[in-house]
Formats: sequence, structure tokens, C-alpha cells
Amino acid sequence: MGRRSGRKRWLWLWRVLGHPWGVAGLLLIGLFGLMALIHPLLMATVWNRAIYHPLVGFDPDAVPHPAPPSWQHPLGTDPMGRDVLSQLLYGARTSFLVGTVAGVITAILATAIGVTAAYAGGWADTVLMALCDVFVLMPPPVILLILGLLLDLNGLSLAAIYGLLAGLGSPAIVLRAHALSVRVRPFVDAARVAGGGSLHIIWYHLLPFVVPFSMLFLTFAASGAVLSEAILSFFGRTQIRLSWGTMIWFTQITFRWSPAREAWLALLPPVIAISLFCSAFYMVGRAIEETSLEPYS
Amino acid sequence: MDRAMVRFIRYRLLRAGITLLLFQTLLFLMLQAMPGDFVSTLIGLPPPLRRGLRAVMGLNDPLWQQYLRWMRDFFTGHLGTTFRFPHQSVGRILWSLAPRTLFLFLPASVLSIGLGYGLGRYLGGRRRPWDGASLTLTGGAIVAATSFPPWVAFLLVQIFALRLGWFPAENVLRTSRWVGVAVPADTVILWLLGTGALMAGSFYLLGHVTRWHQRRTCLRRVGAIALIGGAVLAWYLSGWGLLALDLLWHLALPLTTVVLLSFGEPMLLMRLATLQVADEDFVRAARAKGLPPQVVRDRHMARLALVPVLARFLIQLPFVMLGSLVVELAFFWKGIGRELLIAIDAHDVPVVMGIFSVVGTLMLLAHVLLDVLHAWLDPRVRTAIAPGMQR
Repeated sequence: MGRRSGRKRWLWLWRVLGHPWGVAGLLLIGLFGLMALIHPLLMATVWNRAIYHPLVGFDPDAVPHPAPPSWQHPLGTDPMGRDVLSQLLYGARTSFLVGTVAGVITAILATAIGVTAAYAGGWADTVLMALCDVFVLMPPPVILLILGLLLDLNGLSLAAIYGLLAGLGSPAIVLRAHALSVRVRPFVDAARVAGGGSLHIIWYHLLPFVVPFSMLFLTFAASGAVLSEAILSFFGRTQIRLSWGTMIWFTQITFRWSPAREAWLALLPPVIAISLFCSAFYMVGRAIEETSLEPYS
Repeated sequence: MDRAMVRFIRYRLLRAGITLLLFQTLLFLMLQAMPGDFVSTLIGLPPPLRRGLRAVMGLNDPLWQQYLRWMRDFFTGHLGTTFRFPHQSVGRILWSLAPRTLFLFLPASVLSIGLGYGLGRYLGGRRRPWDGASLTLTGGAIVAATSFPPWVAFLLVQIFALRLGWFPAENVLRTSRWVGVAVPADTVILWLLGTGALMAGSFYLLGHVTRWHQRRTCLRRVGAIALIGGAVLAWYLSGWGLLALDLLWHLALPLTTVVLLSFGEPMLLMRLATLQVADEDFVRAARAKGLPPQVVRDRHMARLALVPVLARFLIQLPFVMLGSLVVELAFFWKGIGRELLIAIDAHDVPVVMGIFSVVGTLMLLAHVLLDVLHAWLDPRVRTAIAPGMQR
């Protein structure tokens, strides 16, 4: 395996950039990353902690709350007098954490199980696939509803459980099928005849083919986890202190008693943020699916 | 049916059975790990009464006894006894809630797959330079706007129920209209579902019978008007017309929510599948034959592209039921999803187990059915998966 094939293995990454959905999705993800990064900077330099703190800030000049957008508060304030823009930027951090952790765990777990089952075959294959069949029947958001009573779900544990449940389910089965379809091709036998060991075959022949599909499941799991977090927070089932989901939950609770125009304005930013965040990952996934179905072609 | 097929089905069923057993064991252990039990959620009971209740409900028995009892209840179809009401089996509760859940999700599934099929077919058939960008925008917008379920429900309720007042915001029926009515709502719901199925069947037959007739468009229109008119007249004459109208009126918003939430996926899949089929030889042959583009699209491309879309949808159907728990909750729709959430909060373990097991069993059956169909259509699959064969 020379350098040329080593570089060729990652060609599909560039092809995603040639797809309009991929570009749009990656740009959006970059934008949200910027939002998460810029918040501590703003807090340290421009914003007064007492007024703009996302959790305990309060602006005594802008009463009554929720206040409409103004120069001091570009997106207005929420019913407790906290700055919505500051909360939105802070929430981007939570969503990024949840999405990334869940996505990476799902991808690694599903790839490991799928490739192991496909390569080992026999009993290992049977046992692993029986396990996956069970987890297919467990939709992560609903299981998380049950586990919300059992554990104090914070962002990290929620993401880890989501990744565990999602990675053991259908992604592993699909990845096994893809790995199996490569394993039976002649070049794998050729590699073995030429003296390649198991690790060599897995690393150089199975993984390059399977990884695009793992990335696909990474994006889907990331958006699914962020959505689950938002839904669970929306129903008040998590211990997360501030995320987009808790923002919506909090505003819509007060909204029931005072359906004012300002409350609508406080409700819109987190909803739009969640929708855009999830669709960004979804778009990248679609781009991967449509451009790199056949990395050897 | 050859021997390989029989062996394949036997193997697939055996695997499904083992999966179900493992699934239930895991679920049972998870629910047992929840802190506290049903009795501990009741406030203000004296300790002797608590002890008595635990003894009556069998919560003091060793774990393996509770597990065996649950297994027995599941395989006899009784599904255990709920903790919250005296002497009520979980099976009975689920049967009584099933019509309402089906009333929401059967029409919603049919509508969303129909809408996704039609739109995806249309989008897949168009190939002009500027379509790429516009499709990206519209597709992204649809996915973005409908990706957060509680929000869609909230928006619809705010606009159409609270501002405009066109539709009711919650519940399955208006109680005041049903006072003094002898017939239960579930019966009317079942009759409505039956009418829907009958209409769908008749429309299919109508299209099939008039297929080769010269004036089929005219005939079909007349037939459709007659069918719809007949159904409306029958409901009017039955005396339940207003009751049915009340139910349908309450159905409008939740139905719209579920359809909006679930039509995007079939649409995108259908578009992709249509595009993939577009370069096949038989499509080119049909086009070369001089058939109009619309006929090529509808008769030749879409038919083949429908298979993967239907397959994915069939697999997701029980998930749709569980996943739209959010919709049931948002609209106070007294269905199975809402019952599950209430049961989880109340530590009503038998009900939670029952709902999960029934949904899991349905899902496993769907998978088996799909695999068997696949094997039946493609002989290579049978020999590839059945045991004893070289992979």
C-alpha cells in the first residue's frame, strides 16, 4: 500500500464538498461552531456578566420582560429577563457537545461491531447480530424517557446513552452488510494470498469502504441526539441547565399565561436554531449518501 | 414453495423468537432498575398498607418469579394486570386504546406516503439545470421546518386553534356532543376506518376495471363522485353522521402534524430512487418508443422506485407510532403513546412492558415479512442467509 492509495482512500471527503447540500450543511455547522466559540469571548470582553449571563443575568432597564429586540438585546429577552442571544450562543455549546458525542460513539460502535461481525463470521457474527436485532427494537428517545427517571440526565450522559443505543441498533447491521459485500470480493482474497494479516485487511480494505457509511450514521445520530435532547428538555425530563430545548420549554410554559408578541420572539430563535442545526447534519448525511456510495469507482 | 424457502422462513422465525425473548429480558431488567416502585409513588399511605399493597401486587417476590410471571402473562396474551386500576388487564387497556391510535396513524401513514410518493416522483422526473439549487433550498427548508415535532404541533395549535378557532386544540371528541349517545366513540372510529379501507379498495377496483375503456377519465370521475356521495349518504342515513364529523374535525390538526412530520423522508427517498431508475435501459426504451414523458415517469419509473420507499416505511411504521408519542401528548390524544408516558411516570411496570412488547412484536413481524418477501422475489437471498449454506 503506497502513498497514492492512502490518499485515494479519502477522496470521498472531497466529493461531498462538490455537492450543494454538503456545502450548505458544512457551512451551517461551521456557523454554529463559531457561535459556540464566540460566546466566552463576548462574555469576557463586551458583555457585562450581571446583565448578559445566560443563566442568572437580568437587565433592570428593559422591563417588562419578555422585552422585544433592541440594540442592547438584539433578540430580546426571555420571561425571566435574560438575554436571548446570549442564551442562544451558550445553547450552541450544549447542542454541539450532545451531537458530537452521540454521533462519534454511534459511528465508532457501529463500525467496530459491523466490521468485526462481517470479518469474523461464524459464532461472533451470530451473537453480535442477535444483540443488534434486540437494540433495533429500542428507539433511543423513548428509552431515554424511561432512563430519565433512573438517572439525572445531563448533556454528556444523554449523548452517551443515545450513542450506545443507536450504535448497537440498525447502523451496525447496515455496516456489517456493507463490510460483508467487500469481504467477498476477489481483491480481499488476493491480499490474503499476498500475505496480508487480518488487521491489514480490515484497515486497508474493509474500513475505507465502510467509513463513508459510518459518517452517514454519524450525521444522522448527531441530529437525532440533538432532537431527542430538545424533546426531552421540552417536556422537562432532563437536568440540563441551559440548552435550546430548555429555552423553548421555559418560554412556552410562561407563554400559556401571557401569549404576547414578545414571547413569540423569544420562542423563535431556539426553534430555528434547532431546526437548522439538525438539518445541517441531515444535509451533510444526504450529500455523503448521494456522492460516495462507491468509493472504489 | 421450495425447500430453501421453507428453511429460510423457519430460520427467520426462530431468530425473531430469540430476539423477542432477549428484548423482553433486557427491558424487564431495565424497568426493575428504576428507583422506587409503584407503591412508593403513592403519597400519604401508612406503612402497613404499603406492605400489604406490595404483597398483593407481588412486588416482594424474588426477581425470577416476577420475570416468569411476566413471561406467562405475555404468552397467554393477558399481558399482566395494571397497578393503577383494580383487576384490569394490560391487554384490555391496549385493546381499548388501539382504535384511537390507529385512527390517527393509519390515515396519517397513508397520506404521508402518498404525498411523499407523488412529490418525490415529480421532483425526480424533473431535470433542468436550475432544479438543483431550488431543490436544495426547498428540500432543506422542508426538512428544517418540520424537524422538531413539538414545535410543529405548537404552531398549528396557536394558529388554527387559538387564533383562528377553526379546529379544536385538543382531545378526540367534544364531550357535549356525545352526551346521551348510546354508541361508544370507538365503534364509530372503527366504522370510519372501515369506510376508509372500503373506499380505497373501491377506488383501486374502479381504476382497474376501467383501465382499457376508451372514455376512462370520464368514467372514473363519475365513479369517484358516486362512491364519495354514496359514502356520505350512508353516513348521513345511519344517524351517526354528525358524530363522525365531530371526530374528523378533531382529527384535522393532529393528522396534519403527523403528515408534515413524516412525508419528507419518503419524498427524498422517492426522488433519489426515481433518479437512479432514470438511466435504466427499459426507461430509455419506453422513451424511445415515443411515450409521453409523464407516462414514462408514472408507469415505468415510479413503479420500480416505489419498492424501497415502501420497505423503509413498513420498517418504520411501529417507530412512527411510538415516536409520535409527542403528537399524542401535544394534542391530549388519548392513545397508546400518551398511555405509555403516563405509565412510565407512575412506575406502572406491566403497562410499560406490555406496550413495548406489543410494538416490538409487531415490528419483528414486519421485519420477518419483509425478509420473506425479499427472499421470495430474489432467490439469491434465500441461499445466502439460510444456515448450512456457504456465505
